[in-house]
Amino acid sequence: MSKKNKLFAGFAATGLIGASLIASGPAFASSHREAPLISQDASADNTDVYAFRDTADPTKLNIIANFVGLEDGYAGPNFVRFGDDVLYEIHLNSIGDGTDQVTYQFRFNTKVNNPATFLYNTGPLASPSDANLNVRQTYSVRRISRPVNGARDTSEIIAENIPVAPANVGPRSTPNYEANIGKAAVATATNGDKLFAGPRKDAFFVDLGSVFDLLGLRPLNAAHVIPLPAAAGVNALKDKNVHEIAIQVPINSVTRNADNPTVVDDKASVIGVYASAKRQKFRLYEDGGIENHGEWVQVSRLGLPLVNEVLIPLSLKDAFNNTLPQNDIRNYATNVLNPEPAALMKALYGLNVPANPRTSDIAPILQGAGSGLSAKNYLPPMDILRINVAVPVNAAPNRLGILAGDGQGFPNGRRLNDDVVDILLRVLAGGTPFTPANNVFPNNALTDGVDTSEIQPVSYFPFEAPPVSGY
Amino acid sequence: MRYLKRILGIGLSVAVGVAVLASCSSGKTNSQKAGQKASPPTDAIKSPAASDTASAEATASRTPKTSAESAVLALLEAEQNGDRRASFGMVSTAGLAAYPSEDTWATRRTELAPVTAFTPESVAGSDVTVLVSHRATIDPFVGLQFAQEHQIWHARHEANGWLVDPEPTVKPIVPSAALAGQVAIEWVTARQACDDLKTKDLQAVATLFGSSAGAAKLCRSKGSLSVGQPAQAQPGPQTADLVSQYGSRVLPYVRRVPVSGGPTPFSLFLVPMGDSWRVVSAND
Repeated sequence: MSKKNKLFAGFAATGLIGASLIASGPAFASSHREAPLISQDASADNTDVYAFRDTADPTKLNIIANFVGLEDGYAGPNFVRFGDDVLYEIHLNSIGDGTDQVTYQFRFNTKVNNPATFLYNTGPLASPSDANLNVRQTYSVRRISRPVNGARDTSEIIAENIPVAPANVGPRSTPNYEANIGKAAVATATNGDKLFAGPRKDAFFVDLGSVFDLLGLRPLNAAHVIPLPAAAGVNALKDKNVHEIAIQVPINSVTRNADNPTVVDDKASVIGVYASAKRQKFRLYEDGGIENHGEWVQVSRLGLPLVNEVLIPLSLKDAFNNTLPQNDIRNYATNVLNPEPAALMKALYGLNVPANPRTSDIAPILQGAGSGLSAKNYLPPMDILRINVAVPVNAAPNRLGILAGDGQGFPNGRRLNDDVVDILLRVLAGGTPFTPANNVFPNNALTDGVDTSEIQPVSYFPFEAPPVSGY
Repeated sequence: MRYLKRILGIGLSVAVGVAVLASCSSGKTNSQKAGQKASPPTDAIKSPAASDTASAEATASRTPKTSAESAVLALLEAEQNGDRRASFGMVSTAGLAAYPSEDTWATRRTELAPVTAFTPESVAGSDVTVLVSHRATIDPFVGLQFAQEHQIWHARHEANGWLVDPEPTVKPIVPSAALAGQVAIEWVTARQACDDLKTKDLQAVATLFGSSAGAAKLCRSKGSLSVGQPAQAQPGPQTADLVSQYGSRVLPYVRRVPVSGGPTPFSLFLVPMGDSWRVVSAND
């Protein structure tokens, strides 16, 4: 038995892997500060995208796009806001090519009632639009539709001046936050879509501190080339908030046939989702203020978790955020099919990973194999979160999604408790049925030791938990 | 001139930025030092991705017309019908540099006011002038949308026919500035009478931008109110929120009207809305 195998054997014998499989979690930050430029622009930084059928009403699709990663609840007096100068978008593709058939756009506007005070609120807040709220943000939503059935393109403003949920300042300012503010900030658009925008507890969970310390996985510390004592994972996002944009839409309003698909192995059952943020081309600092000029330019985008984070090299990360998913094959296929993390796993842990290029496992997963499509129905690979809306809702979801036989879990869409870090660690190591020779221990049991978030999502829209209080 | 200087400044900044980027990208990658034994691969690192470029399919899908005017009218008719595929087919080969795919073209068109009607006005060589109508409104996605504007489209003779450059020169039809003063008087009078319905009717937005104690104190105030001459609004703190919400293109069309005679002097800011003006902001 080699030294490496002995280490893994010892690790397994201590039961740490078993424990971590039950109670631990992720290893990278999905897309929090993933590229040099966007890491300096928090309000436009798209950190995660989720898409899942609604458990209570399976005819509805929930989509969540998070922005502003690693947000603290105590960020007063200028609590975190969405950017008034950012165009936020959620893109839906129903024909598999990465173009938009439906786009939701969000614009925000901040108004200060009394600029003579430094206070965010001048008394307790009993609602999202309470008169005591001094710094108030509202948003408007536009829905752009590009039907594939020959009908004309349409553009409709479906919500105007909807209050953004204020920050969870503390018990004096925001008593009974969820009842007074969180739930009250859910709005209904003119077309019936459900909407929410505001701070929530980041549902993502990951051991950031260890993962970016040379791909350290605390439960596997002893097996690393720079060994440390094995330890349980630490969720770096345990008390971090995020700014959430959530929509709930009828499934038949976003499928190509305006229908509720029932055949899993049918391209029409798959919806592609990604989110983005755009800024205007030019920014001028003048007269004590900032002016933005020019056309909108995409500065952030995210579909699948961790793609830009760990598959795209530093030299291409900013360009990745600036380009469109439909060009991913041309631009980034080399990087995705020759994944750097897999090489690191081999170098740092001595794992036997599949040979490059990864056309037999990563490629089919990106083409919809994980979303229930057979090879004859594969879609072009790109950084788009794909959800097969014909897959029935699973009443007993498994954090490991497809890897645990839960067909409604990641990478078929993404639910808030899907452990995408563990899933992707194993995918990158070849620990899936696509590569039988590598689908062995420890490749198929890799973990960062954080299996879930200490603060659980809620069961109702907008699903992420109320934001951690600043108090 | 001030704007010209700004644009020149922007151009210079961009040029410098591009030069810096070029020098960075042409430099060799530093040797990898990732700790004792980890040696990240370098074979996957290549030059930054090229920007999205027009596909051969996009180039082949051009549908040239027999004249400059018919090409422009075909593009506008397609736009009026919401048929982005057809309007994209009218874009010149040069225009494909900016909009290399139907998708990028469609995205650009959603940033502009939808065409509700159009009437050809004149043709001068390759330039076609058309009177284009829109629904007059203002929103944070498109910005200020004029009821009517003259659009001058430049057509090109290529591919055995005529195609159109994608961005016309636009000359909006703006109502007389004097009308802005009249609307301002109506607004302050209604506000002084606490007539919320009437004031809202004279506004372009439900909640005014800016911050004005003077406007807030008008309701039930005494005194004879008067307004000054409308003047073009200037960039700065008083208009920053308007520009942030509606884009810098709104500013040349915003008129500032000073209001006096109330508890506190303040200014109203108005935007053209169809054949009249509407209040959009108030500031002390």
